[in-house]
Amino acid sequence: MPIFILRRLAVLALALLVVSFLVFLIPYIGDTDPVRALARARFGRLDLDAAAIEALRIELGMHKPLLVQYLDWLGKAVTGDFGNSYMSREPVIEQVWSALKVSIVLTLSALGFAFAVAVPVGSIAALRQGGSFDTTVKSLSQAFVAVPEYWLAPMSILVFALYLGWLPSAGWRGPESVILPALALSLRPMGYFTQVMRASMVDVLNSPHIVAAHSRGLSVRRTLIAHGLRNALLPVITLFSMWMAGLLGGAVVIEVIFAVPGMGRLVYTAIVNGDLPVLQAGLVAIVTFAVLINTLTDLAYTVLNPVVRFDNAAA
Amino acid sequence: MNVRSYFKSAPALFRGVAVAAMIGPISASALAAPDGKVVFGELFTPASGWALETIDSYILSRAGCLESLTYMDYDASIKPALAESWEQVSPTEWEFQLREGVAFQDGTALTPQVVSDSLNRVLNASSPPRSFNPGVIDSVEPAGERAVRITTNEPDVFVPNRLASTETGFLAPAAFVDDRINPVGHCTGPFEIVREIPRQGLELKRNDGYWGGEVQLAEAEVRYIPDGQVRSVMVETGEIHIARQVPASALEQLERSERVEVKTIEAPRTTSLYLNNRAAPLDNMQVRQAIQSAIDLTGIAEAVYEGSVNPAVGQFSPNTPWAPENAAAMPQDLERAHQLLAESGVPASELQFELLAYVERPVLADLAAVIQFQLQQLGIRVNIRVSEYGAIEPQLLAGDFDMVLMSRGYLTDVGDPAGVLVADYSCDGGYNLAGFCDPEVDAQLERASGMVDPEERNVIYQDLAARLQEEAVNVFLIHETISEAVARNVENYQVHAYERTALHKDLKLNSQ
Repeated sequence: MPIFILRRLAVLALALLVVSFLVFLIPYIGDTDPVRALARARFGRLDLDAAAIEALRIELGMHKPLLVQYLDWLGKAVTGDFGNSYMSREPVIEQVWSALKVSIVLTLSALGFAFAVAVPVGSIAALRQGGSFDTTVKSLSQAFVAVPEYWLAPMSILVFALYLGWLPSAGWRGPESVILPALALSLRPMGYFTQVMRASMVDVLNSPHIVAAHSRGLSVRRTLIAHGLRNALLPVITLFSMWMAGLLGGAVVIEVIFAVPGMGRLVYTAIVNGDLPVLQAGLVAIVTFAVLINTLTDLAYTVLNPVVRFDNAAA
Repeated sequence: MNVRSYFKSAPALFRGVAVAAMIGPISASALAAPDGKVVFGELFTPASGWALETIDSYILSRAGCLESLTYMDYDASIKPALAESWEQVSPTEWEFQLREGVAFQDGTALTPQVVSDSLNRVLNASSPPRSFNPGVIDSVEPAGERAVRITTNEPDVFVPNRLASTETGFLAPAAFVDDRINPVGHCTGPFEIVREIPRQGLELKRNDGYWGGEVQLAEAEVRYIPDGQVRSVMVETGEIHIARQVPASALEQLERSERVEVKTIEAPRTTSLYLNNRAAPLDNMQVRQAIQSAIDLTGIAEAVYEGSVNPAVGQFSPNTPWAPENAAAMPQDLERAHQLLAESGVPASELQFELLAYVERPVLADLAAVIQFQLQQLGIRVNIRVSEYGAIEPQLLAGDFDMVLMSRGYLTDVGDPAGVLVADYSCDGGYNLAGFCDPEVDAQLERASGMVDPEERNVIYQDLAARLQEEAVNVFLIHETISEAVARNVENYQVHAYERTALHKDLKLNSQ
């Protein structure tokens, strides 16, 4: 186990190094001058003063060669100092941590809801293969996968906030404000989880050990819970971890529409504004979380499936 | 049965399946803003740590917190604020008498030294604002017990206007600690910030010691809601009272609402098709005029903007003192356009342009498609490129483009068109995209900047506006409007075209 964790930490360090350098290049890709982008965001105007731009470039150290800028940043970052935001001049770490907490709550709520629905529904559909319930689940899950968030989010606001008046339209104040964005965000993963759960359960139900357990006289329910569910869950857990990593920083549309102060909006705004320190720290946080979640998923595998534990030990 | 009543009459089972059943429905009244408190739906989220030289200062100003020495009123006139009077004591010197007894919300007195230090901080910022920067202002210093002297590099009649800008607002010295700025409890305005919820909003309470008199509302709140459609819904549900800048697509629904009133005013902003006059064939005035005649401004106002804007009569709206008398929108006239093109000697078959638009204003992409179609009727081929502004900016500044759609405010910086006219139409203008250059116009604009009497300046602006329209230097398309949705129980709210005022001392809620 310690070797497994050490290996994972080494992967994390390498991933962060590569990602941090690639991230550094983002504002310089294309024709956009990051200093002008920053100035436009600060002053809210297109007609910028050339002298002010140059003063800003020097103030931020962006007149130095790119590699020098990167090494300066890396030197500080390894000590935990991600610097101040170019826009707000406030410590980046405060902004990222605050946004990360919001995104973790939003993402876990959305995926937790998707998981809670998908596992029973996918399992029942697998047990009733070819029946009307199965057909309905297949159709609905495909529809869920296809529904774009930019349509779903405003529609859910219209229905639940405007017409019904049950939930707040936007903002991030109290548990009730989590529901709509989490719901809108959960639909697509719910569709995928359900499809994968169903397919996985069908495979498991047809596997020799389940057939054997069944033939030994175990009830369908007991067979399903004791043997089927545990194995069928493995691909869904993998999918869960992938979505978790993706949604932490990738729920931009939902976060903008629902005015959620999460990581997606923070990183997107940092890209648009050329706010390199926020962008760097934001993506480093997302990648760190992605690798950590991946590690936890692998550990969960070892608990759920002894074969995986054996493979890890052998490796 | 409409959708709303259908949902409301749906059986309990249906409602149980719905999300709210999981946590218990939250009643609409629980979502509504509390009584006695106005909630303002703000478009922007502060991003520059409240640095006064940035647009964050506008948010503080609209929140009723930040004030300046002078104030630009709803009609663009300059009124006393923290200064009660001012005088131009020499061509380059102005003295401002501070109002007596004004204190910041933390109790610090507003003295000439505090004012001078604050304005010098703005002047010394790495990127000082256009309205108040060392290129114009030479020095700011205390001048006696209640006065501040401001010296300009050249004679400048706009100093009172410059001091009305939000960037020259004042926070108590205690607001500035190290490199950070904390406006909580440090303003002079009718409302005091009691709590800042990062990236979400500001909670405000009445400033009981406000120099301007009694403040009607006990509490207020600013919420940052970037999406216009969501702001529109929130004002309808009662979650907020005022939705700033609602999109045209939401107007019809809002106008049907019983609880909301839509207030629309003309904005000092024109959307135009900027033409690169430097290079052939757009250096040919007849080609430009042909393009101008081929575009249907009324159709654009109706179709693209759903009737929420007015066709442009030129650079300035006809309701301003800078528009030429009897200025009218140019009607579409394809016959004239064909004739002008024939007279220009440039065959239509040879005309092919790239039309640029930027994504930050999504409507420009639709507008580009309409213009492409309308110019096609003349036989002109147009390729559209829509991109982030930052990606097309180098091309624009280098003069390496054919045509670009721009939305430009014409009262930026000093609340007078001088700023935009010098930037866009003087030979050395910093944003002269069209490449228009006439030394006589430069001389006129320079003369205008020294004229104390606005009437005299206006004559120069009218002449230039008429010429720009006549020569089709750019094609002025529509005069933009600002629409805000306001709950009917809010009293004394007015839309401020210069975006500086929202929450003020006379704002109140009636018991409706």
